[in-house]
Amino acid sequence: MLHDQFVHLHTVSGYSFKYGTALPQNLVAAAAEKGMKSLALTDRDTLAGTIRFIKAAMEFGITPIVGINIKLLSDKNRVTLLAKTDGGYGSLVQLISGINLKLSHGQKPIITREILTEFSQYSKDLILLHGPDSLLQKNIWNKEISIGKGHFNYLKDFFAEQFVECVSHLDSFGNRSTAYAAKALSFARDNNIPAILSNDVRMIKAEDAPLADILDSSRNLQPLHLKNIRRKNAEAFLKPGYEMYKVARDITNMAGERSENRLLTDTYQLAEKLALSPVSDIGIGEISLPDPEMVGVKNHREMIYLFRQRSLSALQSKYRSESDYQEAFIRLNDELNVIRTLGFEPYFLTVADIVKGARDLGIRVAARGSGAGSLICYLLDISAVDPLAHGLIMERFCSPLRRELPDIDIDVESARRLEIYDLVFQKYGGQVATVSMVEKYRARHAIRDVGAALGIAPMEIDLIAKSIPRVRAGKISEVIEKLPELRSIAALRSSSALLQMAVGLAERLDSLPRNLAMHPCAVTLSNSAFKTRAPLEINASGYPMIQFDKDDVEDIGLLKLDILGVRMQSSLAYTIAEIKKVDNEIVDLDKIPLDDSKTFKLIQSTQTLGIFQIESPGQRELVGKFSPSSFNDLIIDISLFRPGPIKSEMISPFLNARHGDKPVKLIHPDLDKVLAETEGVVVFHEQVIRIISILTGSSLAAGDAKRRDLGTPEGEERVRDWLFPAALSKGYSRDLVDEMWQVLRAFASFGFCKAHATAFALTTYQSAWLKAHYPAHFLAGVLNHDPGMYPKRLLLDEVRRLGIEIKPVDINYSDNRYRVIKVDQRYAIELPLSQLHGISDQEVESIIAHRPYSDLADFVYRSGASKPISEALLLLGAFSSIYGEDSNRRDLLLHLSDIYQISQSKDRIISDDQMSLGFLPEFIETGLPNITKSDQVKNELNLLGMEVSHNVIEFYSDFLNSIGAVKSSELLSYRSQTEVLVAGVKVALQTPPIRSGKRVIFLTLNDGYGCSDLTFFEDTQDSYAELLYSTSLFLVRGITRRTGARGISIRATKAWDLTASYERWRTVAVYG
Amino acid sequence: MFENSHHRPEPSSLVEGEQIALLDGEPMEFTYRGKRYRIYSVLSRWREAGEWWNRASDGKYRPDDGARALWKVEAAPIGVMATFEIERIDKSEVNKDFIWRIRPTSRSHSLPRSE
Repeated sequence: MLHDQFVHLHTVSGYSFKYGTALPQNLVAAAAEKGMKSLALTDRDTLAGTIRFIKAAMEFGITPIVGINIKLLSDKNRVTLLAKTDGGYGSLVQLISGINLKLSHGQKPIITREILTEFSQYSKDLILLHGPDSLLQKNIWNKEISIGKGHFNYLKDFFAEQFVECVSHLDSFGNRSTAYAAKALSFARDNNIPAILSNDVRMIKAEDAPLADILDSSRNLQPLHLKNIRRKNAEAFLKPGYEMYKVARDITNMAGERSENRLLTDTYQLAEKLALSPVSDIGIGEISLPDPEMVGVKNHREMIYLFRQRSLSALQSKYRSESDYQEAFIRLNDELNVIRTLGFEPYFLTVADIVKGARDLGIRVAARGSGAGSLICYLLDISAVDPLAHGLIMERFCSPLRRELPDIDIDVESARRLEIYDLVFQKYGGQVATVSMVEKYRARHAIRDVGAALGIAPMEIDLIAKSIPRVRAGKISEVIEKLPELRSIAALRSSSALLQMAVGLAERLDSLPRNLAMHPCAVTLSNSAFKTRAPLEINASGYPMIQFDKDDVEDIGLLKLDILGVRMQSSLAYTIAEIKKVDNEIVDLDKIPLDDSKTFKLIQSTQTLGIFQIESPGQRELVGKFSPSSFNDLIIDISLFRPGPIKSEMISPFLNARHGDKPVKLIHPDLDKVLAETEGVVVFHEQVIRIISILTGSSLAAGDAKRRDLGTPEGEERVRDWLFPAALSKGYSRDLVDEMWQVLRAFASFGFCKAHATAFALTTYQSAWLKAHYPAHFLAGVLNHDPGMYPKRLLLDEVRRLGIEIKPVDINYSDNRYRVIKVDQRYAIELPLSQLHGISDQEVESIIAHRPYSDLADFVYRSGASKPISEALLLLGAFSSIYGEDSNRRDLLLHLSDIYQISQSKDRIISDDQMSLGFLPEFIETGLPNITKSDQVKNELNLLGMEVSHNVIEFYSDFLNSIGAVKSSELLSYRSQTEVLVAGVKVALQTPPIRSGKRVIFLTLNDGYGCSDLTFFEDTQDSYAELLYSTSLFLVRGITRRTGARGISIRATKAWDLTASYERWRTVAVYG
Repeated sequence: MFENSHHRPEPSSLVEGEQIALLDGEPMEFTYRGKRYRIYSVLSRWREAGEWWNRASDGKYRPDDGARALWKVEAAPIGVMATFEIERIDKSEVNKDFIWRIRPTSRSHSLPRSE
């Protein structure tokens, strides 16, 4: 039957942003379920969904067809272009890239006459469908037959073939009515133009129509109303063949045609000409390595020679002792052979070139990820980690048995990341691009869009959207029902039918793409094949960007380099620059010894605020228990502090063994050398790989393959069936193999890549070293670049705690960054002008450029600061260098307002001469009292967002003393299981995953003496969760629990809002 | 004429809920004012969406609640239409005179719906 062969040639997915309602993979699955053999994806304006679509088509045995729905010649008319078999897809990609690269970010592509002329070699591989939104059909409907014919003839030269696309959504009138389609068909027949049938599909089922309405409403920013919804009914769904047959019959009947057969046959026959091959057309599973020219050599042979030479010469300089050299030489040869087999030399060389280019610009670069396990990465200066010294292996990163491409990640200074992008684009031009990232509907956006469409009050929507945690849209009901802090939202929902409907709809938007953004770090490096495989557009930062995401890019074998902007690297760079500037000392972080006792003493003290990776409350607790005393300990620490190990009981056995509570269990001498570093507990992937390799006598590459297999239940079975006979035949006892199998099974999936942890640990150590030796410089860097999780006010508290003076903002001295200054051999940190809320970069620049200022009037006339900023500076005491620290700020404020009055009356232009001639208002002491200390702190909190002169908790000290609250610095002197009261400002609130799967809320409070860590278990969450999320000053009662020599945490039993308690106490104290 | 005329029937002639016989989801016969009609040809059919968002009283949305499907048809009461055989006999070649004969051929005086 003909209708069994029907192929939908015009189908859009959710990648037609805010238009399509279905994910490409779901469309394919639905097509397969309806017995269709082939399906086209023709999204509006983008090819972003292509790879998902192709992969699903492969999975479901559907022949894929790819096209695009795009504007042609005018903003109002759209046509569909389809790629022909053999080369059409590459041409489509090049056409789209060609159009987009001429546009700027956010502009919709349009095919103009100029584009047609310039890119006709690409469009000639494409089929043009004149559908219901086309100019041609409009001409036909308006009886402008000769104009329509002229249009058609003009386009003949530019496309392979043109079709009239008949669409009837059974609308009663308009361009998706049967009559409209029938007229188009008659025109086609009269003029010998082939015609096909499509359904301009927008959804899988008719029931999805409300989603289309929500998307239309959100796209057009209009509430739902029949007037402004686009669809007239729910017919634009993936209709099965027999329904399309009925539509064909309606159209052909009305066009006066005897049978629907011709229309259906022509549709099917066109589909046959468009079948794409996932491999040869799209490039799925292929690998595109950079061309030798990219690394400056002529051909492949030269490149391999260069690669070997560079590695070998570095080997001599990095491994000086004979035995080290020998070991490294053997390892190098192994790695070279593996890379040779895989042909990845150009990738390593390109990455090395980019890293070198960045370092030449003076930008800090550190490798991260499994790449740090490769000796070649170390030799080519991509990574600073010596893999031999830390027992890292290359096979975890790259081996002939790994199907994925090797993925090198580099961490660079966040503040200078775009400089590296510029470098890369300058150097490699047309063969590189950034990668996109699909922003999908998550809970907050979904509820906002649905709420706006349904006309729910904006305040209400805002309240809900802000309270809901950042979960996927499909989980909204679940979190509303489950989380105690959302109880009021739950009540609101059950009281409103509209809100219930909104939640239900919002959940259905789950995972629909909203937008294409730039992936924050990935850049692809490829060769000339890239052009035909990667559709480009310009992203918000102005760089060319592939419309595919990270996974898509990997699927078509484009190698990528992740350039991650890491704020800590910027902090480190700043710290080193400050040391050079203030003390004229040069610190080379790559050369500092890794066994510095001062550094480890600092880490063991748990005063790790600001230090990379180990500053969170949970990490401070772990560091307190663990007491890391070597670089390897830091690697272990970072590997242990992850959801996997925490969930799987890895931490306690390790800590018990480390502290000698339970002796290390030795299993077998062959395995001891692998397990000794972690007290017999498997922590690292590398250990799993080595154990498998030792037990079975297989290679490390095989060990890694089996390790990855252990991730799934079926894989686990396969590994077991393979491992047991192999290990037994090597002479290991049944008991030993049994025991090791249990260990492997339990830990393989939770372990952590040691190479990755080592790369991280290096930055952790470097930051700790700087904090131990140059605390002021280090904290200035942290204050400037904000690399961590804590607010600045807490960092400032740490500065105070370390006895470093804080210099307030001063108009004659403050810079635009936190600076270190040296006064009488002591360090101080100076607050920057830029910290002031509301000050613009231009104002900061202008203030700095025109100083010094002799008095307030001088400042007003020359600094370029606005009146509110001058006032704010005055309130903060920023004129102390002129008027003294104790100057009366009320008097100064009056003086300021006098100056402004005069300057306005003189048309605001007063020259230096006039000032000296006595036009200046006089500074009068009125005798008013100066502002109080607490006003001062209030001003600081309002204007800077943090307190400088005093911690805000100080103002509650009488109250806190009288009720016997404990200072955080004194907590360590309490025994376990003591009931205490603590107070402070909320600095962190987290709900990390924990072993039991139960939810725990961790609250960290700062009281000016340090931090206290509090835990709220489920029994207390019911009463306090809402308070915890809504308040910032707390008083908490709880029971202490010692977690180690330097660690204590508090299990909270009650919590209050500190200001409310204080008010109550004050009233009672006065009146009671 | 391709365009669907969009006139609605006069309210006075609207009759709701009388029996409709369907074939493959499409109307085939219906009763109107006590008379049984047969559909001989569908001139056009179309569908219209409802305002689902205005029907949220119980907090559930029903996709296309209130949507309508419409058919514009040619129909006649059953039994009214019939088939006949019409015969012309040429009497002579000279005066070109004809004899006409007409006889009904449908026993039920109704015809199957034309496809």
